Amino acid sequence: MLEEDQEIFITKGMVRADFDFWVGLVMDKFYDGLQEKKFIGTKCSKCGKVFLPPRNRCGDCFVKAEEFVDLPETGILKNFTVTTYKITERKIRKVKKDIMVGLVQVDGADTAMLVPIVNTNPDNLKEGMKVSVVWAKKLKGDPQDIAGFEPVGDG
Amino acid sequence: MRKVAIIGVGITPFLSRYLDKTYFELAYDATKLALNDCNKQGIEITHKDLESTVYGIYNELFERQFMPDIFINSYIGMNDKPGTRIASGGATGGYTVRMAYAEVASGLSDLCLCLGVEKCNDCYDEKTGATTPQVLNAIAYSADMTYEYPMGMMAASSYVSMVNAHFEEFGSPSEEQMALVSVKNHGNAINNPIAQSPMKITVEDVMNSRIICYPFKMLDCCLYSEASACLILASEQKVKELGVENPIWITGVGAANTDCFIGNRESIGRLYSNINAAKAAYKMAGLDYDNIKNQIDVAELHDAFSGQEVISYEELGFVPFGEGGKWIESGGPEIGGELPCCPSGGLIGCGHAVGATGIMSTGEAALQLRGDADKHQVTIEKGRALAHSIGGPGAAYAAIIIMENEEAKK
Ligand SMILES: [Zn+2]
Repeated sequence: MLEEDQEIFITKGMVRADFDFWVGLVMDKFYDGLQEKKFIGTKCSKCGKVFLPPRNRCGDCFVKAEEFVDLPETGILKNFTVTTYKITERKIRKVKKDIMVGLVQVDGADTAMLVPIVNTNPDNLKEGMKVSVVWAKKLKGDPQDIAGFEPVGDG
Repeated sequence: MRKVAIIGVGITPFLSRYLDKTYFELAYDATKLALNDCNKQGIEITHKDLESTVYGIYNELFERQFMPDIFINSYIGMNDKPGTRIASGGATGGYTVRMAYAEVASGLSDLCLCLGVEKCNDCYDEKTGATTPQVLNAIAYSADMTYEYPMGMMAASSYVSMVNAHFEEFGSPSEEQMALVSVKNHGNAINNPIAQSPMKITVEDVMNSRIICYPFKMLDCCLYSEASACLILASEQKVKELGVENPIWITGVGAANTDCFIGNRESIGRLYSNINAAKAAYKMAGLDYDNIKNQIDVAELHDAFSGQEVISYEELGFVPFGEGGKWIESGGPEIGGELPCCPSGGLIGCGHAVGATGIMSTGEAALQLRGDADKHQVTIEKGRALAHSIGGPGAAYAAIIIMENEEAKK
């Protein structure tokens, strides 16, 4: 039992892991592609499934999927949600403007990827609507190069 | 419980670093090697026939990923099937074999994948250009965080205290006797293509290598490695169905966790985890702790440090307490000796890719019983082999696997 005026010994959070790691051959190529405003996926040599983000093994066929394919900047919004909170390094805070995130299947890909949805508002979002990528102003070859996807035309 | 056999073995080379592969690609490679090993023996199975996976992955920081098993699950085509991860320090591999055995013995699965992987050297700090401090830190977090870690406990110092205390109590092993283990295991590794550290060296080379943590010198310690190792386990019914000609039956799985605080143990110089895991495994396999040396053909031991192998000779019952050092002087654990220990090269010769290590040791022992160990094959007469895994804070975890080849016994 803690005494009322007892001070407790609190030690510093000691688990730190300050190191850099390699994301692997295909994700490396994917991020290089983003810097050139290109989506690079991979294709299974057996079933032809196209992965974006890319991966170099098709689990279903148990073969390598090492053929790179260039994919367009457009796709379909498969699903979405709206969040009103954001986690910063210091705390969880309510955002001024709702954040929209969705799963977008880029045309020609068989998988969907998680992206922000931008330049619209939640009321306009519909599953199955056409969307197109918005690149970040400054490209660095990392995930933030994808500023988001926005609806195309009437969506 | 149902009978369980090892029908396929896949081990990737143990390397200091795979620059061209992620941990899930390494896991895929080992799985493919194990499936190929089955196919080469005429066992017609693909990844689709596997019913479940038990993963051995020690450390999240190595993989930079919590729950790394679930990402492998996708890469190796095991989606929509059960998968369980085991993490038991240095004994992760042995414990993973034990749980994969249980998966099949219990009837939950007829074909189970037992897969270990570790990729530690991506713990690389580009700012300092150093790997070792990051890896050692990731390992050091295995010590008790409320006292031992902040006091500076590391893996080597933890083992040294036990080996030194063992020497105090029993007069074995001396520094030269420990060095003989290093000479043997580096030498055995020369004939193992997956080994990271094959070397022809002398006792003087070991004695003259730099001190890491007295009395352990550089060449007394294993290297950390990146690798994956995989076993395919089958039930007796599946063995019959698939017409497996050379199944390696798992007849004993013993494990024990002793007190993780070394200072709480009755004797600091004894690894009770080793002793109790061995007794449990031998009892299950119908073998005798006092006569085990004459009942098995080969042992793949967990020689993270050379001194630890010598005290394992005693704790696993190969020789009486205090005689481990003399036994290696007499050539007992050499290939061609009374009971070859670590013909693969062990951890000192092959390297230590924690989650993969015990699975590699078990796989190596199974290959020995099958007669498929190529250039490091030992003579098989009794048809039995042992694989040993130990680790965790103060070597608190231990797991021992006994295997049999009924054909070889005839
Ligand atoms: Zn495919």
